[in-house]
Amino acid sequence: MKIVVCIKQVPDTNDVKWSKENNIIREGLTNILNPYDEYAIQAALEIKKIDPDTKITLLSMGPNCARETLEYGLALGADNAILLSDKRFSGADTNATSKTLACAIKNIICDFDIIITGQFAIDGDTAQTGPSLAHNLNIPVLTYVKKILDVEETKLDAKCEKEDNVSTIEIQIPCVLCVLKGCSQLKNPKIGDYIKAQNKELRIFNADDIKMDIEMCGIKGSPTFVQKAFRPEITRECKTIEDDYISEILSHIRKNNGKKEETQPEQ
Amino acid sequence: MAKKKKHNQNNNNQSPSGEIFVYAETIKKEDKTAFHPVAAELLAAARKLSDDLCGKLKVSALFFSNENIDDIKDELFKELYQNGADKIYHIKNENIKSHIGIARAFTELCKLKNPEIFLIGATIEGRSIAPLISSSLDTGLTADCTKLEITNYKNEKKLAATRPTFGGQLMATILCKKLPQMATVRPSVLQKREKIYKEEGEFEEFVPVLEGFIEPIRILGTELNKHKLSSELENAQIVVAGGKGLKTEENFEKLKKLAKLTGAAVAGSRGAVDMGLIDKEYQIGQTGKTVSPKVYVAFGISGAIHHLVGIENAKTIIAINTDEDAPIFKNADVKIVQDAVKVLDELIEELEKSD
Repeated sequence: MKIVVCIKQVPDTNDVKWSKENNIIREGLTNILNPYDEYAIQAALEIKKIDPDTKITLLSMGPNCARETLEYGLALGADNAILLSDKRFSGADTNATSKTLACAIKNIICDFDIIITGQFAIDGDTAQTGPSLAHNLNIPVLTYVKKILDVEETKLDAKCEKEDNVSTIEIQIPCVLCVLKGCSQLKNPKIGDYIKAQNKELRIFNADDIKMDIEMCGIKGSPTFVQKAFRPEITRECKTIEDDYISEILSHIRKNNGKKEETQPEQ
Repeated sequence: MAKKKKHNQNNNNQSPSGEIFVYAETIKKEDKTAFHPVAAELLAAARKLSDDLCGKLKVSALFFSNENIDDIKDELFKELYQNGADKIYHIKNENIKSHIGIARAFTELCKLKNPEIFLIGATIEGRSIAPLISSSLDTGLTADCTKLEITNYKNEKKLAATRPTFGGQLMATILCKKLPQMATVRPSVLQKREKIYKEEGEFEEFVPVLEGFIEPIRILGTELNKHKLSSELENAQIVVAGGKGLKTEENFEKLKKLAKLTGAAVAGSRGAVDMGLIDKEYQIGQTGKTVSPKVYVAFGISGAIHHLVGIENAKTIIAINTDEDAPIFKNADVKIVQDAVKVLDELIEELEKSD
């Protein structure tokens, strides 16, 4: 099996500091591997465990510092890594990002069976790049994958979350899988793994290297653009209850559960 | 009968020049096909956008179902007109078995009708088909919007889609250069219409060609979610939620007990989900669900911004936390600085006494 795992370095959004002008201060912001993508890497490693001939390539697009994330992925056990880094890639929305990733997969990686990626990235949280990537590679995609079950040469089975059920689905290979947290078992790399990782190949490519049409990537190639950005307003006035908090809570609850409203207006 | 074509453009030869597409997603509710609540919310939003453009855009609902709906079809379609649709496209093709097929069919219809705007619910299915459609049409898609409006941009009327980003730290208003301008909206973020829009409207059956399309997916089996319909949480009037502060599964059992006693729905923060105290399906926030209950009681939730995004529309937020500086208090209506477990115990005791 040849597996490509698409990963993203994201800022730790729990740890954001603001400037006086209401801008996010990017310096000093901790960067982490998108948590969902760590499960994607482990899911690939679990396939490799069953089929040791499996080759896992990590692919990421981002600034130079994103190589830290790839190095971590290599320490986890991936075989090699590719970073797409170019000023001309910056400002990309999911449409342009997926085209850039697809271009690198077609022109650099060429041969693959399964592409695994996290269902969401915790910074943008669009959940769009995976399916769009599948479209650009003209292969099918499964989203909300809870577990990869059985991998065969030309097809695989996976458990996927749906709105009102969990489905076991068979999909043909090659395909893209967007995985949820918990789809695999997380493991921490040991010091020895980091040392081993140093000998693994990590290549950095720019737009020319991957033969990307620069009109289609970065901010130029993005159909969406940000008109304005602002901090969410806080509009609630908070009152502190010190003494009889139990009656306070119960009065709110009782006011609203007298009649259990039907959730659906009509049958 | 809904199948009749009905024209409502008689007294005005300036008929709507474009359309707003709305995906009217269906779900199984007690074994019956029904609309996901987000369908009515999207139709209401589309209606408002159309009004802002002086009715220039027609609101068209896209309907697809694999189920046999012959006996409830008229009822279902009426519901769409009532909730704001001018027109219904009934998409029919027996070869469609998955989200990939649906996306293909909707793409085909878009290419034929060139809608200006396309709104889809940010449900699991919606989030799966929307990027396939937007990529096929090479247009932009804004995910998980919390506000939709029409804005003037360089002498053009554009859809301005606002969404939380950066884990909810930042709101971004996003415009799209191409057509259709696509957006997904989470369930229970927007409101459905209060008044009935109309009882009947235009109707068109659409049979997509799906040239060269073979479903690459086969559904081998489904098991009902062990939890009830996930949209139930999104529609609950009272939600009691627990965070890391509840510490143990045992305490979460108490939370469930409280929910039972009060007719509330149970939820958890990302922290609680990561600790394995509650399933991901119950997670509230940026990477979980959005709820808009009348009362939201947060037990031991610190209130990271990505959590607050999911409860923005709650009418009253009651927060219980030992840390008086917990960020949740900045966004709550009632602040109780107490041990959440202690409050849980006292509430249960009180409720059991009065029963």
